[in-house]
Amino acid sequence: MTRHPDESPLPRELASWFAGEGWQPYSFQTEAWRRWNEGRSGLIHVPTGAGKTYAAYLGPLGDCVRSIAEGGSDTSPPDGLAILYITPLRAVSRDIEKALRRPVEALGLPLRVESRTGDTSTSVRARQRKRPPHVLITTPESLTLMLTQDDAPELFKGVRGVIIDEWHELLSSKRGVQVELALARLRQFTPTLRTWALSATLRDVHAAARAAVGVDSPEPAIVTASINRPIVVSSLLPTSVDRFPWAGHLGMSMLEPLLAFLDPARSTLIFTNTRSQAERWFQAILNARPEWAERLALHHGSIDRDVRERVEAQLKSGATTLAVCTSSLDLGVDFAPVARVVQIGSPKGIARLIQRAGRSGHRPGATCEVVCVPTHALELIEIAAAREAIAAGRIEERPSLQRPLDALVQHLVTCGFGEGYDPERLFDEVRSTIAYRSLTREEFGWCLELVEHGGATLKAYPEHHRIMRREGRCVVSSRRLAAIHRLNIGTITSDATIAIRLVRGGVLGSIEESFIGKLHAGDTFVFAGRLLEFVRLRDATAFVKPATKRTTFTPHWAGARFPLSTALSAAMREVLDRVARNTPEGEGPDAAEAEVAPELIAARPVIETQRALSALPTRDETLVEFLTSEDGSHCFIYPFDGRLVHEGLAALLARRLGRIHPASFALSINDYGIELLSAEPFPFEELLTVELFSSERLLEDLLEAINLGELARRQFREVARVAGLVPQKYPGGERSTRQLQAGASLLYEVFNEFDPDNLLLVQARREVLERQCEDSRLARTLERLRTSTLRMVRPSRATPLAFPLVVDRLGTTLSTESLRTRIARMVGESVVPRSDSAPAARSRIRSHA
Amino acid sequence: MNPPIRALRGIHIELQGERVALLPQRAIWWPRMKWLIVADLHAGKSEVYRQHGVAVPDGVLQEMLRRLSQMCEALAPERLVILGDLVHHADGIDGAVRQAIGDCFSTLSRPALLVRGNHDTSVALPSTWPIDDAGDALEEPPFRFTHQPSVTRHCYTLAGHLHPTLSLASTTDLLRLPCFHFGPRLGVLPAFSRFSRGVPMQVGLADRAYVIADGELIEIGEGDSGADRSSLPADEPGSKEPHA
Repeated sequence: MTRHPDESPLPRELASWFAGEGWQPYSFQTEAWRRWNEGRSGLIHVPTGAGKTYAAYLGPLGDCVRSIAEGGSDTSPPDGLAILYITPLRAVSRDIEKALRRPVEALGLPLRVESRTGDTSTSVRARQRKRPPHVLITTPESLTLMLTQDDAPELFKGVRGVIIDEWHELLSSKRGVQVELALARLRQFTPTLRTWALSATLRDVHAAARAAVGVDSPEPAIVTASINRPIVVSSLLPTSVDRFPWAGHLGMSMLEPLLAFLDPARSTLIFTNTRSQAERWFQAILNARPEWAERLALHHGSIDRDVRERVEAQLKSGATTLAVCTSSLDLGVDFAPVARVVQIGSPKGIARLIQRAGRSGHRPGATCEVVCVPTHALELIEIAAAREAIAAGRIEERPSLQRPLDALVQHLVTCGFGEGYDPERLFDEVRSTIAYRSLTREEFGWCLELVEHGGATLKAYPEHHRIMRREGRCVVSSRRLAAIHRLNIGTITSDATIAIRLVRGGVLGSIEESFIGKLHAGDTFVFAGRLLEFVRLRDATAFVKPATKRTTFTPHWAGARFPLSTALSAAMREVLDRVARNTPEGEGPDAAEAEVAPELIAARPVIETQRALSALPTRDETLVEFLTSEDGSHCFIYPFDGRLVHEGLAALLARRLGRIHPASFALSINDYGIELLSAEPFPFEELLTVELFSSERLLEDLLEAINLGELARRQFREVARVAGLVPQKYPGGERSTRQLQAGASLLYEVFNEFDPDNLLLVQARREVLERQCEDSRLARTLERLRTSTLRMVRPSRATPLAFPLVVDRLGTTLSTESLRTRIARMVGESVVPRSDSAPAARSRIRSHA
Repeated sequence: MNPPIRALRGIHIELQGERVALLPQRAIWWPRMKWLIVADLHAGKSEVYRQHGVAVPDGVLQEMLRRLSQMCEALAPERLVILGDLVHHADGIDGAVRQAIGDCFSTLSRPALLVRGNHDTSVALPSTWPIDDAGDALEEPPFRFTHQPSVTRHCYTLAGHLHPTLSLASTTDLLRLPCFHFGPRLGVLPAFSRFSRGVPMQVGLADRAYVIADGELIEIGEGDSGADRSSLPADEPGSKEPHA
């Protein structure tokens, strides 16, 4: 078959429908359709809102159109599932469904387009099972769940194409690994399966494409577009930051400039980094402009889904024009009318800022603008750095995770449904994914042993023999275990949450149990944009009523903080280097050059206070500050490399210093630096040398530090849940009873003592190294610090850089001393046994040794 | 000091005029009666968790029974007194658990004396376990033994149930350790099982507490330093916690 180069690769009726909508195909769309027709798999990498969905969808849809035409009679559609569309966000599945249905309805094709997500009712699911739609929109979790259907091979046999939307969001996460595993499974059912991933803002497109298509596929096609969407980063600048120049907190002082900027006539998304920040800014805007109440909305992940969907619908219809939100609105839902985007606080990452900026001017060719609102003077520097990084095209890398065994353990049970599997073949299949390409036979064997026999420790317990052999194939061993497994599929783990319900009225959302645990009846707090009074806790529901008295108490959600990304950290060090070399008088290497970013001018009081009290580090220096206070000896180090790396670095330094000189340290960490605090005088100045940053014995020292600290315990919780060691849900809504309040940290202790070689424990530690501490990144940081000049300063008081570390101490401790020494000091220094409610009396220690 | 107590790294204290020994193995030794007193064994807890799909590793019960046997060998008690929650739940008492406890208890000179706890009440204990049922409370002046903490006028109560722990915190350190907790009318023993989560206790002016740290006991309490209390600065831990 020959084709003119300008002829559409789509079947005629589809091409004319496209044209009839008034659209002219972009060249990347035409290219994607052509690659599809050639039988290729690949990745479509174009900016948000450029038309990726149709670029990926119309190729396989064209196939359906052709086979209907070939079938002669258009009353008998092809049977079964043909196109699978995976989206990470179930909230957007309805919008995607609408978009995918549009050409089908316009052409009157005998094809059914349906969604199946966690929200789909059981009756619809049952119907879909009996009669699968031709085009199915689903989430990674629902897809894996479908793999557990007995007829899964039959169901997926005819699938021509899988489209993975927002692939950049899934990569580098266990959800991404889950998708890789599911795709490997589908390729067994349908060897001709073609995979197309859709992504925006990626650094390594080839690695991302390879992760989507697997190890064995031919070279994936990369389709990119040279659609020029200039991104403009601007800021609302504080009029003055000199009230507390050493503290730098701007807090709500930026509210007035923001109110002046906002215009209810222009639709605006106001992004914050945390849910509590969203609550606070929503309240503040509402209090200052009650007349905007009709047009202002709040949107974050803890708010009840119905409420969120209502907000999304109102945004689309234009009824709501101002939305304060979190990353919950980062993805999906193309709100055509969004005119402006505001970012409160640092964006913490370049790709994220680009993504958010992309929500404005959602039209190819239009300029995207994001207006940043600093909440801290130092964030002014981050904003300036982000602008430079965007201009230079430096964005974050997103490597695929390396063989997370917990996800594999889960997969080994998932594949045991229906006919089950031959472990030899499954080993090869699993190794065809990028995530597990280096999986060893031993590791696979260990995981299989765990699900088949309960591993080394659970041999005697049939409850943990989740898989058994039937004629050489591995199958799920009991209906009850199958039911538990189905309920716990997925890799998203979260802390136990409690529903919040009005005494008279509906559910407002859900909130972490730990927050509710601190409340007493009558306490008031802000949630879902409302002032609430806590009434009582019953049946895992917190009952509340509208509060009459005012409050400033906002729930503090755990784990909601983004770390400063590698790319932004590097950009920030560059900017600081320039600032350090330029004196305020305008002398220095760059002084004559182009104008200084307005943010840096606004941040000058803080920058100059830092310079006067201590120093600003240049590129080849590491700033270290020593301070003595009534709290003890402080040592501040500023690598400017993001909190994840700092977390590992702080633990490592504490471990190494503590080896030379036993001590207990309180560790404090933020995106700029770390603080080590010892209650007793500690010779930091004497012991702190570049040798401490040596990467020799790095792994051993880190493992020790991790075991001493809390990191592995936290990570184990996730690993244990994903691997199915701690199910979160039981069949029939049966909740974990009082007999079963398994604190994962308690379980961690039991494992540590009774099964220390358990590979999942090992994985938890490794994950701490690789992800929490990003060990290769940590090694790079160490190398940089080791070869840098330590600029040691003894300032007279906490500097602008030190201050946030002092006020935001997280309570992480690391000790190399015996318990007795620690207790003796704690009690000896007249610190009291801590109680959660009442202050306790002073204690003394009496030794009976 | 009594050599076996020293070997176990226990300490003697005086309670209601009686000399008793606290043991870091999480037990109380009452020399006059030759009673060894423990609380909250929660046998079968790992098994119940496993039945609900939580993969608790093996060894919790074995370690606990080893600890018990070690004390019994050293002290040769006249009676083992259990202050309730011997078992966690009926579902957890499988063959292996039944066997292990039966074996351990049959080495005792007399049947163990069980004060029933909330977890024991609905369970028919295996007949192979040498146990005397003491009902909800047992009195042996000056002490009264119960599971759930309660106070009476005529006796000093020793109880379990709470799995007491003590949190110690300073600006640079944080520890949470199991403890013995003695108030004016009530003493609470730590859970004998190490697979247990505890209730944080406070140490009031009239209280004494002993934390278990690295196999030894350390007293934390107001003690006799009441005189300089008024001059203390009002430092309330946790009050300066920032909210980001």
